[in-house]
Amino acid sequence: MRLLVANRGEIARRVAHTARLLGIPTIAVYSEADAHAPHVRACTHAQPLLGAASSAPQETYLNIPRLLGAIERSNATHVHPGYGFLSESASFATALERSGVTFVGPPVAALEAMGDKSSSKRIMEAAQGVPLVPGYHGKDQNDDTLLAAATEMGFPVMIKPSMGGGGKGMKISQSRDDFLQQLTTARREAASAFNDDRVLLERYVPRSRHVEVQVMCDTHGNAVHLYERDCSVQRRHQKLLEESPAPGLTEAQRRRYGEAAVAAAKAVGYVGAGTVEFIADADDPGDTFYFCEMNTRLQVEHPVTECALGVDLVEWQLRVARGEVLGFGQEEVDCAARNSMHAIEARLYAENPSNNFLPSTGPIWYVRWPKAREGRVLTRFETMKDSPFNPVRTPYVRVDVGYEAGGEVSANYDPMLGKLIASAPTRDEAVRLLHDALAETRFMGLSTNVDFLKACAIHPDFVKGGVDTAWMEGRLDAIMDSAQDRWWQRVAASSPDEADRIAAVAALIAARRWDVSAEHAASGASLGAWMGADGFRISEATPMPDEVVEIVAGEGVEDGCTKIRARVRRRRASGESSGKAGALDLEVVVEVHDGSDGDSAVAYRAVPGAAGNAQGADDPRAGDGVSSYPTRTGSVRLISLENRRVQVASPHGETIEKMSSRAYVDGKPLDAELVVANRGIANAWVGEGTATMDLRILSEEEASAEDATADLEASSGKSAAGVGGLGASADPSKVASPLFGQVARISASCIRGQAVKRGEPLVWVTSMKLEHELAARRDGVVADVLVEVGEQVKEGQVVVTLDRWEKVTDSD
Amino acid sequence: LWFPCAALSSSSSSSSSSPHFALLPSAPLPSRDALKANGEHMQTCMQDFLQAANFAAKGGTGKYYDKHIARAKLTARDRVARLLDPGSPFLEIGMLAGHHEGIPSAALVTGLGLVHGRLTAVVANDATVKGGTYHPITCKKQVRMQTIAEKCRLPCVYIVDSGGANLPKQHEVFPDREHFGRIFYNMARMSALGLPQIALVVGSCTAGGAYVPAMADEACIVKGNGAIYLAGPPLVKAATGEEVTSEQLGGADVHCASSGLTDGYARDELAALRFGRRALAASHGTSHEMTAQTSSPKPHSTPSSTQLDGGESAYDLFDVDAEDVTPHHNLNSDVEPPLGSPDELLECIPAPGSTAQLDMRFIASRIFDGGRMHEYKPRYGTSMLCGYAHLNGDLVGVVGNASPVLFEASAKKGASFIQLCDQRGIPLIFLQDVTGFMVGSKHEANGLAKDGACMVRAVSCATVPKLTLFVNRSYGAGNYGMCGRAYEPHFAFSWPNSRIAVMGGEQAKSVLEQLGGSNAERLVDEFDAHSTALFASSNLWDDGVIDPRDTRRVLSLALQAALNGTRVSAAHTSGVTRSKFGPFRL
Repeated sequence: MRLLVANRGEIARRVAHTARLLGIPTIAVYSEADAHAPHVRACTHAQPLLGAASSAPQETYLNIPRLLGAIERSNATHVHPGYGFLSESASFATALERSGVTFVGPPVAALEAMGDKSSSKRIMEAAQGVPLVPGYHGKDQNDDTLLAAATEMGFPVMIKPSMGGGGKGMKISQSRDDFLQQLTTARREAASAFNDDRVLLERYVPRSRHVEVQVMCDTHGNAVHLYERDCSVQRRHQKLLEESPAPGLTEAQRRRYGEAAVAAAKAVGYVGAGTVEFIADADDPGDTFYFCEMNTRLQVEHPVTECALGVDLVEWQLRVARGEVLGFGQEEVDCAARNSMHAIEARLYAENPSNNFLPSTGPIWYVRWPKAREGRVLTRFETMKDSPFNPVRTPYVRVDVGYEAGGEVSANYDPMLGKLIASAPTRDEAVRLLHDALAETRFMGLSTNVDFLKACAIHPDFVKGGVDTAWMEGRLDAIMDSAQDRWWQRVAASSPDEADRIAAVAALIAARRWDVSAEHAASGASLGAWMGADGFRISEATPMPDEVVEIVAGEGVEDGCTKIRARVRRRRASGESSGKAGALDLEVVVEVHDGSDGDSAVAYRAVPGAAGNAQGADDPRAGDGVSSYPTRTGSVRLISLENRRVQVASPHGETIEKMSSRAYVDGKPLDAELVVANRGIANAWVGEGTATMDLRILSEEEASAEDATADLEASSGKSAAGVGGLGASADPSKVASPLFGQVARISASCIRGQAVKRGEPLVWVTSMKLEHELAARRDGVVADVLVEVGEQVKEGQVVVTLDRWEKVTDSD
Repeated sequence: LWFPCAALSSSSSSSSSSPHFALLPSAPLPSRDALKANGEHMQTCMQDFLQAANFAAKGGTGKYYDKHIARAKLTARDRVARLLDPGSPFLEIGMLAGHHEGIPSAALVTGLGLVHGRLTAVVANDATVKGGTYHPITCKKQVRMQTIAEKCRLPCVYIVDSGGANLPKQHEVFPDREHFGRIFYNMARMSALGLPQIALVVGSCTAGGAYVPAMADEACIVKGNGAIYLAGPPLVKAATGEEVTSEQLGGADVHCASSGLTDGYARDELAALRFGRRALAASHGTSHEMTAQTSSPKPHSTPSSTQLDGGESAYDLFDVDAEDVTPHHNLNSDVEPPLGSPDELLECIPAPGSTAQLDMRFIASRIFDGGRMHEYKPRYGTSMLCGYAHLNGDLVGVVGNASPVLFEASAKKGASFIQLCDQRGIPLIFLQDVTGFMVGSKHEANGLAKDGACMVRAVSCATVPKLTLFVNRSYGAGNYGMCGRAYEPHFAFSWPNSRIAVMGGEQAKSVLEQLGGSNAERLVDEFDAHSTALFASSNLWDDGVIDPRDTRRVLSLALQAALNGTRVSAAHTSGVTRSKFGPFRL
């Protein structure tokens, strides 16, 4: 077997991982933009998708002839499509079949049958044991017949025009009492809209949950289900959190879901891993659920099932593709399910929740995944013992990611960065673990939804379990608010001393950054394994003692006092309103006395920075003036945990320097981590355990440059919250694209001289598979349209300019 | 500059992206019961190891310890930790030395760590154990540490707190080639090689001990506790009648102001340790090791070809298009981790009584990058596993026992692989599970002794860094061919379950029973007790027992130390010059 993985990102790595454990050689394919992507290195071989004009998906991962070329060049015998791209393409599977290559997935017939919603419904009607939405599609349109049918299926009932579509003329009847009245209205609207007053009835599910069942079938007629996943936490139909088992279902109910899914899979002669989706009534999810559709591929959220049951689905996909008999029966799955773990997955996206969830693109300077368990799937040890089911019994976090520091998120592909899957014996533990794992996740360079997910994970509704699919839509603002209610803000508000202490630590590590850089310059030696400063000892009998680090910033300093001046200020994240934050915008002067006992006595004084006074409306110390800041003296000890410089694989040739320390400020422990990219971008995270504060540390020049900008903005009265804000320009007379993309459409009213209202959409830009609306930011007259449909636009590029409205009104 | 942080540069030249060597295949896993039994056996050995380590770590206890602390002295291990960079690993050498004689750590803590980011050898006397005096094993340990330092070209720091030679044992400590005198001989020679020798006198340095600061390049003494003299106050009084205090005779004021024996005057121990750090920082200069560091072996690159081979096996030559994939950046953090989990190494040694063989490829797949290896002659001399692999980014040649008996072909394979690696400057790692060479008339007639000698000769003369790991058994001439202690591996470590002896216990039993008569049982027990890893380590037949889970980490640390030596000294000092012939195909 030689397996070509026709995908990219985390799923390609995921597939390669299992193949590696099974000793199967793998071939990665890649577009030009992905030449250095982690998935390419995860495979044993790689083939470029030759001849592509660009890295766009249509030219690369969606291009069947180019993939066939790569398959031929690599002598691949099997192709794993991953998810997305061509994973459910019947024509791809057919093309593979013709060239004698095995598609790791279902037969073409099943792909075709399930690819079309209405054909799949027809097949399921014929099948036994697949619950479909109860309905009446009969010819008899008599009022009594319809009422009887409605009563039988149970209210509420949806009355739909038989010829209709797009929701037109649909009426919902809540009970017997209003049925006839709604029917009359529906008929009237149907007659006028479609010239046909026939209707059909369907049971209406007002609040639903998304519950899906993993199935696995072999080529020998065996089919089992691996229980369900609840994917109800969605934002605009995009799944965000998925879990298994589904909250609130009994074992018998879970089995019924599974049996229904197996019946559905058997009805289409399914082979391999697939997912049968059901719509469940949120008020009665155990008993009222209906077939929705079947996904004929491995899904994004498949690790949830893997972690819950301790099974490797990719392993079995490959075994089934090799013609092996399924190594386990339903009884074994049931047995594993009885002591399964609870697993929850969170999907991390490169997007900005505080800016309308717009995708964010660009380089990733730094990334830290929780507990350094990146790429841990299941080891051979775990998967290949006597039973295929072997859940890791202790709580752990699995990290499936497709990006690494130095990588770049491009507008070409899906902005999903990766997934964290927390599993634990109970749901409560899993929720907590997920939250902590999210809190440990750190990105630098891009906006992500990590904080947003973290806020979701501690929302009381989610913690309770069993939310419905519409849950998030109504609560976006509330969740956003709690996501921004950051630990450090609370600290700063309740305890200014504490904030100063944190700032002092930040200043110290900022100062150490320069020490280390200087030392780097002095020494070129490299000692590989010795660089992981983890205090390794051969035996736990001789642990590394807690060490004291002396902070000295210059030669010959022995009994004197060294001063470190550092400015610590928190830069507002893009999109945040200007009134907030600023509490930690401080200038810290740290005086270091090289104590003879090895401890550093440090006195730190914190004063608000120049900008701090100007803006800190929320700052509890705003307006206090410097004099009210007494010099605080305390001891600071920094224990270095790790300290290394790495060259990251970036087209920009960045060097990242990373330091983590444990600091004791007046005896109170704080974790501190500092990351510096060589372009002067520095981030520090300081905090307690999982609650941390992000800091940006600026050099003197950067700080003064920023002050100049802020002054300019303040004096001209313009909004400072421009960066990343919709329009991406401080000037409201210019409409700019907030992100890299392609102009999809231009509004009919967007022509020169046309008057437009504030908020009126003018141009639509496609990026990351989504369309983004660019609207006028004030009333005005279109002065110039600077782009055409199909044109590529850069982030911040002005697409339309407006003249002042007054001109027109004056002349009117 | 004196900076608190280690200079932890990781220049991109050190690490290398591994070419995509094939994955190491491994035999099917043993049954669950067998794994459990293996794990339990290892647990027992680990318990013994931990107990011994605890004994060694504690040092002197009771009144010796109390007296030490009452004099405001730090323990030896604390001193070492405070000398090293924060967070620096400390690769302790010979921790269990002296264990079976009941001398914790042989009254001496030795090992390698970073000082200002520079790898340094540290020797610290433990005055809580027999006053820090030198027993035979103490001498042996210090000489061993110095040997490592010289081979790896490392500066040395001696933290001195010792009463000199142990008088009752003087005949075993004083006169011979490897005895006390050797320490000063080594100091002089290393100093001549440009390796800084720094002494920090934090306690007494009496008689012979006085020569440590005297022979050092730079020395520092602590006011009060530090004292250096050839004869202490009691001896002076006995010899001349002069009554003098220790401080007056050889204290800090005498030696810093008057004799000039010491350079630094420290008010307390921490100040002395700071002196040590600063002295090393000031010794960087243009010394040899800073200028010559470009000759570290580079991984060989695989030839590029556009055609893939269509083989089905995962471990045939498979890496033809690897270069297409090789990213342009080389990251340490990017090194592929080994397969699986290191915990699995605790269950991979067949429990005693089991007839199963251990799977050396499985062990290697848990140690080397990506579990990958480019095997040498996989179908020839199959009891020997030879191949190229990467250890934390560095290319190494692995010589392991795929099965424990050496045959003619396996010896020839090993010999030529060692020659190849030596010629190419690739460090060698020996993974020993060997019960010896095959016996019998057929094999004698085939020239087994001659082929075995080839391997022993190759091992003896190879000048690349050699690391030996005693994984399980090391018996007879197998120990020699696989680079046992006599073949001067740069470092040798043992797993707690391993055994070293002239032959296996079963064979020994039958021989001893024939010879021993009524003493047979005692002899067998003794033989057994003398072949354990703890016994080996307490006699310094290795450099330490390690937790199998730490194998990769320990070997990586040791390899970097060894490579430092080859980087610094282009010309080898062992007297063996590189042959003018290429490796013979044996």
